[in-house]
Amino acid sequence: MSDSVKSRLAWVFVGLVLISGAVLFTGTPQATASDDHDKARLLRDDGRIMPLADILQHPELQGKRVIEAELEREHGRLVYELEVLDIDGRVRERYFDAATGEPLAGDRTDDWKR
Amino acid sequence: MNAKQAPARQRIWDPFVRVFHWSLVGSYVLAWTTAEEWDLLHERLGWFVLALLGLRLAWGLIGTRHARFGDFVRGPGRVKSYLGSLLRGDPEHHAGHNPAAGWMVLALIVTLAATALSGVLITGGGEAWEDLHEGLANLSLVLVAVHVSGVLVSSFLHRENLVKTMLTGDKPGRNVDV
Repeated sequence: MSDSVKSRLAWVFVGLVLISGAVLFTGTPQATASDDHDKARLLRDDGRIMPLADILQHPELQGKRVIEAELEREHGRLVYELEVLDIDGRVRERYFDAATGEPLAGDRTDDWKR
Repeated sequence: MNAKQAPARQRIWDPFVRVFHWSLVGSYVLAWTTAEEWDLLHERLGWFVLALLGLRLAWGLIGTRHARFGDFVRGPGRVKSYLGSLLRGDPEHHAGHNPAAGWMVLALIVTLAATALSGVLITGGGEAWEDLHEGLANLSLVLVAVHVSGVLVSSFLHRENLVKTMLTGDKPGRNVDV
């Protein structure tokens, strides 16, 4: 291959870097929703987090309805983030340490969700 | 004009090598900052690094002169004589990667590929892959430290700015190159 062909080919490779970056960083995140689910299952199977079902048995949640549950990583710690419909009809966020099942401070009221 | 006179500037790194290098640097720094903090971006960075390394491997076979593995992967004899000259404070000059740097490039490619692959496999395999991934990430940090030190020492001893060369692609011309 001549030098001029190679320097043009170098730009083709630059284009391939841009294309792969564009594909990988703008792809739909839906594809990873099930991955998160799988990850939660793996963490549970490894005994690194408690099952959500056990968290829902916590006395603080009795008589309340859990609308939404998420497993989040907060500063390296795995945390269950629950949206709870309280007895007074308000939606509050409740946090539980996923490893120990202990409730964490920092729940707040979302009045606009009433 | 004298035919033996060195050209004013000498092209060393083609555009792809430079884009590859700095994309890898950026991805590497971002991967460390997003580790255990922002899984989605961290994983995408891992796949991007694999794409970068795959392209670099191909370019190492068919690329421009100094980008090719054949230009900078040398046997132990050459590495020894280079390191000897370095220890004497008067290292051989190489336009592209010197013999020690060549092996560092290979070590970085292999280690970063293994780091990214072990990270990708965490999703399917759990804790063992995670431990391996962390170990390889730490190893890569050591290699990066040695690589950056080597670049600084070489830049100082040869009085040439190798960081700038990786940005512009050019070195000031020389009459003699090993």
